[in-house]
Amino acid sequence: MEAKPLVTYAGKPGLFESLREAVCPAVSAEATEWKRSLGRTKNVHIDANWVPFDRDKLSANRETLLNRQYLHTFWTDCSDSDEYRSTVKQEIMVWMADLKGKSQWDWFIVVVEDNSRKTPAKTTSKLLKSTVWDKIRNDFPSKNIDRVSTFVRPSRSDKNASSLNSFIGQFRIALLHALNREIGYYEDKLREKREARNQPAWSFIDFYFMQEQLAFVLETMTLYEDALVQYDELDALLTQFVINAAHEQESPMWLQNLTDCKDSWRALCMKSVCPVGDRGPFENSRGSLLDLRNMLLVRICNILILLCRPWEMAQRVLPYIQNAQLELKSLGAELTRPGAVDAWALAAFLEILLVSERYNDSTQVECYSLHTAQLWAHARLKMKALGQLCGLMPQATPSSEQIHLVVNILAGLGDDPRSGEHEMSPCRRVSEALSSKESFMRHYKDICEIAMGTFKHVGRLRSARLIGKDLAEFYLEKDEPQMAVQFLQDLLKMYLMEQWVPLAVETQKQLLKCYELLSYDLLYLHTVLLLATNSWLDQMERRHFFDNVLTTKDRLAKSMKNKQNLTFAFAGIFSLDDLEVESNSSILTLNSNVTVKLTITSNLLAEVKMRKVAVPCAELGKDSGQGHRMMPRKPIVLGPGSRRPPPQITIQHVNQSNSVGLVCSNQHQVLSRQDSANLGSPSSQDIVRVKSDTLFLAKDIYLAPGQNIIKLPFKTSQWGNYELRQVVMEWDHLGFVEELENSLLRTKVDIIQEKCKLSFEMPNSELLAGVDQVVQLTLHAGSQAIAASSSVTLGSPSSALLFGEDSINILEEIPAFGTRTFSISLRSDFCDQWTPKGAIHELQASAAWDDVKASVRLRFKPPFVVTHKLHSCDTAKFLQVEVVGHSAEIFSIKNPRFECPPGLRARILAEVEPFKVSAGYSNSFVWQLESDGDVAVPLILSFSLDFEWLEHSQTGVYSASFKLDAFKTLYSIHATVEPESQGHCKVDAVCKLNIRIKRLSPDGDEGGQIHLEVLVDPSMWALLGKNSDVFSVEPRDYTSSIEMKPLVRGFLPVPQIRLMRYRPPSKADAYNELAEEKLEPFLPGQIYNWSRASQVHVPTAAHSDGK
Amino acid sequence: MAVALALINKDNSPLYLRTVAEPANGEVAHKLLYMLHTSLDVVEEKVNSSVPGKNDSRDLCLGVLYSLDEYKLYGYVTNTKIKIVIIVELGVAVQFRDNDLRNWFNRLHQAYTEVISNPFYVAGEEIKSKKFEAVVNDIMRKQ
Repeated sequence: MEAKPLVTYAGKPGLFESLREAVCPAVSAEATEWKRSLGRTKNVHIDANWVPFDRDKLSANRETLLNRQYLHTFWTDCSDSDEYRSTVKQEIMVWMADLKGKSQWDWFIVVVEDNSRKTPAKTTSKLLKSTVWDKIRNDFPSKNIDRVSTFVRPSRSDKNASSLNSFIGQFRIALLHALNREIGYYEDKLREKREARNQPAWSFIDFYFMQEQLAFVLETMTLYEDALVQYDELDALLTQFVINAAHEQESPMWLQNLTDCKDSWRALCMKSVCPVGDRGPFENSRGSLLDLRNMLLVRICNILILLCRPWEMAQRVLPYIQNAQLELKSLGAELTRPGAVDAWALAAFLEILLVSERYNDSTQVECYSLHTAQLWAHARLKMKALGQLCGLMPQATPSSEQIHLVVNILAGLGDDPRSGEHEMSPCRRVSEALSSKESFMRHYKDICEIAMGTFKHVGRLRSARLIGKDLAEFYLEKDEPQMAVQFLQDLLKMYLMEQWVPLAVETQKQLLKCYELLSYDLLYLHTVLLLATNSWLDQMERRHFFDNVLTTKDRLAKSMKNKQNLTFAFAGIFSLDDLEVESNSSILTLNSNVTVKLTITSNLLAEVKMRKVAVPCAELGKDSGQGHRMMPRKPIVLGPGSRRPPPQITIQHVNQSNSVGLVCSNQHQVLSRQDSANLGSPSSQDIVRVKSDTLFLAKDIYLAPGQNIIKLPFKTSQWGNYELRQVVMEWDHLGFVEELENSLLRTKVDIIQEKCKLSFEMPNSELLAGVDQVVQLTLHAGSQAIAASSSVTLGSPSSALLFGEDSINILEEIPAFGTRTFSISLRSDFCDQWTPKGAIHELQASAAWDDVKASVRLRFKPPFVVTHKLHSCDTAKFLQVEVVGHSAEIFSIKNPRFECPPGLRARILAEVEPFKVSAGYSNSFVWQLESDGDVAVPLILSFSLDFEWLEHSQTGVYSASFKLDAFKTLYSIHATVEPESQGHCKVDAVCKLNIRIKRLSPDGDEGGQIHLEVLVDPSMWALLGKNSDVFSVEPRDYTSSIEMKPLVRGFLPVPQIRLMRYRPPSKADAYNELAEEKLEPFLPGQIYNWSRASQVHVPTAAHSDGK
Repeated sequence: MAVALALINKDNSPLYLRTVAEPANGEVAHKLLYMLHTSLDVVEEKVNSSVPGKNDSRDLCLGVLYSLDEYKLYGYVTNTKIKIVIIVELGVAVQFRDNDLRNWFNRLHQAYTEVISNPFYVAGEEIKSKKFEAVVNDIMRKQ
């Protein structure tokens, strides 16, 4: 850099030259802390420009910061004190005198030691304090900083450069010290100069170059931010001057000079950076304001690039250039050629774009594109302005004046500073673009497309589309409407979606022009229709478009063959405000009259006759007919200009969790995405008319402007669930369709077919068996009336259920959806074995005409339950019968009786009076059974009694048969306990249990053996012998006695005797050791035990008696 | 001087559009409208960029949206995402202060608040209010 501070070297120039390679790069290698006043501390990299010391070049001039010798160094490698004293010291003193004579205060002496002598020299120096370095320090003391330094000459073998480093550090500090002083001084002067800016002789140009110097120096110190501040200050100052001048209508002299120069608009070029201190075009006061602006901008941009913020460069340029243009205008200093300023700005934009392109790395591409997009857009505007000015637009032909103008404009831009580069330089681009019409159009298109692309890239779609509009206009002018259409359609979609009506209308008008040129009849007609119905336009215009509609329609009617294609959406032209399905009954069945009532607003200006208005329906699938459509919905497309529907919120109960929730039933509409990809297009291609045989239809309807109500009648002829799909209107051969698929209006018609329904109604109380009961049967007629004399058949799989009538006859017709209730009388028989739970019977009813069946399971409970029990007393037999009430109802019972088989007589012990039973009440009676001889077993006894249900005066007979497996008593048991001696049994005294088994009647099992077992309570009796025995009762009696001891006192129960039939192992099994005897119990009533429940008194022990 | 003004709802549809251009549907008016619409790009960008501090929710003023040679567009967005965009014609002779702008925006915001407080005003409809109009007229007349 030119602005590096100069450092001189004196003493032994050869010495420095030999070390130059080691020293120079090291200086700027590391940062040094620069402490300034007011606590400003910065890390700076300083570098120096080394020049040989020349006494004549010393200057005390402090007016400039550039080309100044900031520091003077003296180099010596003298190591001998004598030599020093004799020659070097003298040299230094002369050198110092020279410096002082020119008021140079910054000096620095370097003593270079040789590596070979390093070690001894150091030791001696330490000891004797007489090295050259020490001597110099003593001879030339310095105040603030160390100005005498030494280092060992670095050698290749010695990697340790610490002494060199410490020297470099000292050197940096010394240089910085000098710089600091000079910069501080310069800043003061600068401030002074700025204060004087209102004096007449003051010149901004001078001030600019002065401050620029400071900026340069800061830049060399890598203080880019500070350098940028300098330029920003200059920019602000200049702007303020211009504003003031514009206000006061009076410019200072320097500004006058700048603005007087009106024929220079040299192109901005980042490459042609003026060398430091070069005043460029201002060398001889021949520069324009634009030149000054150029210069300043180049400096700013360079700093920004050094700061690695190329995107900021792109960001700053736009307002800068705009401001510069505005300044020219407000100062009344327009350039001599119209369009020159545009050309200048264009060249500047292109230059900046060219430069920033090089720094367009992927990390910064986002913020970079954001600003470059704007630059491209502005470059496009400038180009367009130039094109219009120079007659280069498609419709124009450049006149000779315009050609002359182009030449002048290009001349003013100056020579192309980038000529020879392979990239298209801005100047070349401008001159090429202006050279001919074709070339202009090519460049213009290029720039438009780049600008659009960049805008799209950063997401500024509106900006991109607006450029598209310009491009479309350009194509229109060029007579290429087919190229324009797409741009305009995109634009229109956007405006329609965002409802910018004035702009949408404007675009539609432009599109109309395109369609007309391209003979896109359909689109033309549609656009005209939309314009004619647009309420934003005034009546005149609408009338004009409406007339256009009529003529186009007629023209198309003649020319078009395929009339099916002339179908448009309602959107905008008509609006369907309401749709209602009306009928005289709430439920639609066959042959109902249904009317669809349409409320349609026509936006047309005149009444039109609709040949046909229809609403075609589609039948829904069976499975989806249950209210909620389960088929997946298509993603909804909101039509152009249509607003989002309001959310429909309903309250819904959630069954499981006992809570209530809010449900938005049309969330897919409310929350639908509104992006550009999914815009509803007004084109008619997507519209498909639904073809259906089921349709609501009205013909020849006059549709007046405004709201109309149209009724479409329909008679149902078929079952099913139908959905209204579309509203179709035909205006001569033009069709208009409104899709109802995602409409919020009710669009379903259910024509219901329902079978009749049978249902049973239970009585409130329980059903009782044995008596007549009534059950209600309800018959709901379905969608068809039930004819008179039809009948419902009743039945049950169980024969125990009896009906009053087997079928129900319907006497008079039941109308559709009517209800009739019938009572069924039925009775369940008693079963033989009743449990209190009752019996379950199934009741069935069927309606033959609709093939409908219904069944119900009925539980009948017994009103009372009869049980029996056989009692014996030796050979006498008694039968006890118990009647227990089980129902809350009261039943009266009388005349219980037996029917005995022959040879058996039943004699009731006490005559029974009629008695009443109900739940919890019971009664029992006993018969003595007497037989003459043998009675066949098992014995079946038929029992019956008469009962009456008192509340309903129903009487009946209950009958049951009792089965007795054994009748006769076979054996009787006598068991007595006898004390050994006289008196009572005593505790722990042995006593005897005498057992006598008596055979009362011949056992069927002759010769069989009986097994006897004594069951004692071991806590009372201790059995002393066997407790069981096997015997045969031959001939009649068996007696046995067993010894035992009572264990406690008191009344002890006599041990029980249990008899069982004994079956010894059969002979076949005799060899089988495992064969076991078998014991078979006797049947109840076959054994009579006389000693049951008898007791033995065991008094206190005998010995205690004797007290 | 303010030459055009737009009040735009949260879906980017205009609630109120006004330009000083005559005639109301002439070329200049359209040019201004196109600019107003295009500015929404920048408004959206600024609203969506969530730079903390910079996007202070209390400062509703968005500053300069973009500028052309002759015009500058300023934006303002309410907490309910109602946007106000003003186009100012540039001229060095015209000193234009940031405070004026904030003042305009605040007055418009206030006027809009009053409009929607009117029970007869349906939210989302075009604003047709004399009071609002008066505020707009005042701003447009002022330099």
